[in-house]
Amino acid sequence: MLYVLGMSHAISVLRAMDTQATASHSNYGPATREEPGWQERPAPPILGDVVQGGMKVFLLSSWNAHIKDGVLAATTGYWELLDTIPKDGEQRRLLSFVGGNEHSVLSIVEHAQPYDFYTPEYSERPMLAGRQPIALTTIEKLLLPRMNNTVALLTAVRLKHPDLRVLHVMPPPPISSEAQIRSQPEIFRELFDVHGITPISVRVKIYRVYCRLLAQELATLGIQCLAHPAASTDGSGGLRDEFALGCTHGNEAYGQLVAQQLALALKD
Amino acid sequence: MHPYSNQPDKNFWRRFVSDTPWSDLDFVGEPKFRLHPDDRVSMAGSCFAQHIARHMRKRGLSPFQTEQAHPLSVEAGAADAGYGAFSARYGNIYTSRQCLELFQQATGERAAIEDFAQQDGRFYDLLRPNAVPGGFVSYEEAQMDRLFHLQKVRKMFEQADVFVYTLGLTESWRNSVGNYTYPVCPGTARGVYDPDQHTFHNLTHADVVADLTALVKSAARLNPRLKFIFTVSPVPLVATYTQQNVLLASTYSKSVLRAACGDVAASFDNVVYFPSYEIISHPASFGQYLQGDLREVTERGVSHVMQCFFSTMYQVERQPEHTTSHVEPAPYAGKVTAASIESLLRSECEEMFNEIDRSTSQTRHPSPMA
Repeated sequence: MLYVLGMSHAISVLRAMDTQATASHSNYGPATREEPGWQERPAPPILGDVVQGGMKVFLLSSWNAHIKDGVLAATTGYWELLDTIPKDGEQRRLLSFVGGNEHSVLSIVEHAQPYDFYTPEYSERPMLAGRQPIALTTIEKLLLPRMNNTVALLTAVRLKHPDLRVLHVMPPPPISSEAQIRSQPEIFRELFDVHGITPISVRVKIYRVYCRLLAQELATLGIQCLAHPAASTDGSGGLRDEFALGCTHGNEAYGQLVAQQLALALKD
Repeated sequence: MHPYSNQPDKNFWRRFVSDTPWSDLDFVGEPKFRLHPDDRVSMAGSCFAQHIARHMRKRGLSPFQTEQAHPLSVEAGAADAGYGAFSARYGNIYTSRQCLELFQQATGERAAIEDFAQQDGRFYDLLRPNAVPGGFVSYEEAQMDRLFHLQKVRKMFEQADVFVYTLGLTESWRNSVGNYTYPVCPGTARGVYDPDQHTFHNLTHADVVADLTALVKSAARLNPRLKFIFTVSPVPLVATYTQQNVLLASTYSKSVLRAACGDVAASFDNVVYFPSYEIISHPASFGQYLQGDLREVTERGVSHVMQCFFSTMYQVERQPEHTTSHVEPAPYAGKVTAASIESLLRSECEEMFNEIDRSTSQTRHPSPMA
């Protein structure tokens, strides 16, 4: 059985895997909260025989959970949901799509005082002239607390299920094209109009730092991370237009690439 | 009748100095210009210059700052040192030559100087080793930060109404290959001393006059309304590299700076000399403002200088004679947070790095009186 626990970034992947395409923005969100429990789905053909027994999917826009001073706090409903996962059994796996927009929160809208920073993860591209250099440690310090919710949710999974194989799927990279972002600005329209969009090189750097930090955090829980598909990005490291949805998400074509990665990753 | 017959009291020692309490002396009189609280006051100079921004804030005035810590750094609680003490993140600028060269880099009169020392996996800007004490993670970051810094220095000179510059030293260390001046000798704070390219130069009166004159004239082309207030730090040298002892070397240095400031101020209508040096260091002060090491200035002395500065340059009411209640509490009095201690420590002179640790058997930099 493949359990899929996620938020918005799960949708494109589920739509790509699910021939009935029932996962959508319209049925994801508060409505799901009213009917807690796993939604049973057939095993996706794209995953071949690596998934036996089908999928159980649970999507929600957010879960309140955090770790403060070493103490994990999560909602009763979340703990109860985790209790429904069997403690043992063959091929129990959990795919995590929780969180994923923390880097965008920090980076997508241009800061009133434009900045840039150096990180070895993006050393192939120069820093942008005229922007205030800030330290990489500043970015890390800002990202870590924003990742707290994701880490808390997955820490709860690990506490409840020490032996469960958990694979966390990283969110898509930031969308490369500003035109694409402006075409579907979602809640950011006014902010984009006033402040603009942060250059893609800066957004990609923040995304890469985010992925590194999250992978490090989750590694301590024994949780593997699946990086974004290399084919989905252009030379800047940003998401190509043909894989973009809205201003922070991947579309079904992107989900298809992720699903192909999952088919390989779940074989291991 | 003779030329002195109609001179005012201030022109006569006995009438002006002898019978007047030191704190009541009108050191400046009528300056060439006065400042308005809305004026953009920029500042640079030696460690003593750091007091100006601090005392402006105490009086509800805002120092003109073009380079500040990024809000995200503040939000992250990142310890970005070097901001706030001056108008931009240049750290202490002890010599007129370094100040001129900074102006020239900022305005494109000369290329940006990139002299970064790699130590312990970090890159340190040898032109401001203590303004950015943590250095940079990469050479590229150091380059970009220097360019950003120079943009902000240019903006400061373009937009300021007045530039207050406190000269500290004549002794300087130059890079003879690149022909530029360091704030401190490489090897003392950061970097490694290389006698083949790091050369000592003790600025002369002519040097300082030429530097300051060039600065005033060049700045006028960039910002015609910019005014200058030159002062001389009363704090003696920590160490000298001349063959003189440190007391005589200090006298030379301060005399040259004082005389040069006087000459330049006499040459330009937009330049004023402010007597920080005299208020603290003149023998008639009886050394009352010196700390136990006879070098550092007490907070009471700093307050006197600042009181004079603000009352004369801003034309605000002179306050009563200094009393204990007007003296800023010593840093160790009452509750002191770790952050405030750290802040105080940061304002320490870079020049202190010239002091040799006698407990070590080897030095990596030229020793005074070697």
